[in-house]
Amino acid sequence: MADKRRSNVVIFTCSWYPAIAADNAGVTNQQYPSDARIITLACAGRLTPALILDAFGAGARGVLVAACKTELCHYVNGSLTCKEIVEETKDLVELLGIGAKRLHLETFDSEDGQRFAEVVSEFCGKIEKLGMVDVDAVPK
Amino acid sequence: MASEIDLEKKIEETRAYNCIECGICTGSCPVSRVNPDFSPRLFVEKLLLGPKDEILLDKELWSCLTCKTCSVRCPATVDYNEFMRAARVLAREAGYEGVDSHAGVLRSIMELHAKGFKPKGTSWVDESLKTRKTGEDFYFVGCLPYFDVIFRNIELTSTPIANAAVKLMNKVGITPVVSENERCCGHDFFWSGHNDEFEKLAKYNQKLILDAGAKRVIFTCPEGYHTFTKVYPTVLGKLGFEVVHITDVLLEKAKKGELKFRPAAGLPPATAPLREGKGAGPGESQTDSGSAPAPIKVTFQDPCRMGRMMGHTEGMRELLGLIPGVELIEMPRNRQDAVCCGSVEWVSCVQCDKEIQLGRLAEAKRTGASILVTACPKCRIHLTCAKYDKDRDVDIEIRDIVSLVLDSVE
Repeated sequence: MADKRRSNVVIFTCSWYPAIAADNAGVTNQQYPSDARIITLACAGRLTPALILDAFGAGARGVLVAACKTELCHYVNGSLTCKEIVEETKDLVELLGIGAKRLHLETFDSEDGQRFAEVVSEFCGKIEKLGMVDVDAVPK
Repeated sequence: MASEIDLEKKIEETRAYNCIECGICTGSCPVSRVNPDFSPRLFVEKLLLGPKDEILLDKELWSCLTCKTCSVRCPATVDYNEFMRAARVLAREAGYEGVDSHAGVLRSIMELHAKGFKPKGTSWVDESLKTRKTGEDFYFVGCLPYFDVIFRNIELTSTPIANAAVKLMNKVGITPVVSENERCCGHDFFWSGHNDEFEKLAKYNQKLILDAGAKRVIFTCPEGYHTFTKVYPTVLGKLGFEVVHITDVLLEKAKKGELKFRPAAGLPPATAPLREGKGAGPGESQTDSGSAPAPIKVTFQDPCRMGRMMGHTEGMRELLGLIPGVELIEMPRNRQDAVCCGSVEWVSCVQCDKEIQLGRLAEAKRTGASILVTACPKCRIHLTCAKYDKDRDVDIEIRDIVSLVLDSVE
């Protein structure tokens, strides 16, 4: 975790299209950084600000949220809810000094295997440049 | 087991053995009134008679509001508050937790602060406010900027309180230090049993304030005020600075004539008292026929941390009394007997808490007041949230004392 070169990105994906896209990325042999960890949620609308903040607390340097395209959502408004949650969390992340750049939302269709790999690679590259989140040591 | 020894010690310290089973605690408890499963007396009995671990497993351990009504009234002087807190610390150590409200976002924020993340919470400071980086007076804002984001869903902003506080301080000649790296005071961690994180937060904040060269810390939040005054010294020893609440500062300046009042701008007219059941106040209705405008009736919600836990009840009333054209009508349960706003430390917000809040709002409404004044940003949030439920008819404006004072000074 202390390795400065690693990007340590957590990807929250919806179990529907983004998860299929991630699967497609694997099937079609697309390359993306191995230090991006995928956490699948039943629906992206079930994401909460606390989950994202806890990911940062556990050492993530960036969080990518992969939701379904709005019109494809299996649960009517899950993708829209996810968008609202990410917007709210961006404000919190800014207040917490982590920086809104480290949180990104992207929507996917099931065929987006190649795009999934591209988005993840690009985001990991960006996070790698940003480096580690600045943290104060506890005063004695 | 190590924890059992600690619990024994806590029983001694909090005088739980003194319990005479009179039940005044349970009779006074605002939670027991709406949730029969919760009872302070039962807790003490379970602890004294049953296996010690039983109370740690009990989900009702997290229902206590730590409002201190029971401790204040207990004839055997059992310190329930401290007792509940100690039980929560042990429960957490044993791996049991309460259910976080707001999906745990506030707990996450506090954890990140304790982990050392560097907050940047001063976006609410605009050009009209005079602040500085170092100086004698430090204004501790607390969680207000976070509340703005989290409570958007109930259309409530809290930073105007901070804004009004700095404006008032500027008016009386104080240019406060406002630091963007200020962390959570740890109040909610302390009362929900996160002891280690609380100590870290206390150390961060003490260092920040001392580094800014401050001699005095001014609070708008009673929880932060109580935590700094009563709890920090138990962890940090001598703080190295004085802790005051903004109402005390303003009152002192007003007495010196440095703060001049005028009738408050933009307040709604008084409404007739709502007669409902036998609880209606004694003959408050009055029809004005004179030429002078009728005073605007307000009522006041005492925050637990100021009233019962610190004994500060009169200062805020005196300050309200200085505003011309404002008449303070007390609710039947006021000062030491005031009812808690129904939810504390961001753990366990359930239907019972809503019942307490709606009951309190109805009580405020029955006084005939058109404004419920609070001195705690969290009371304002909780009561506004209960009011936001559009099915219920609890139409009363909720204002913070600081912004009300700002509206009524020259």
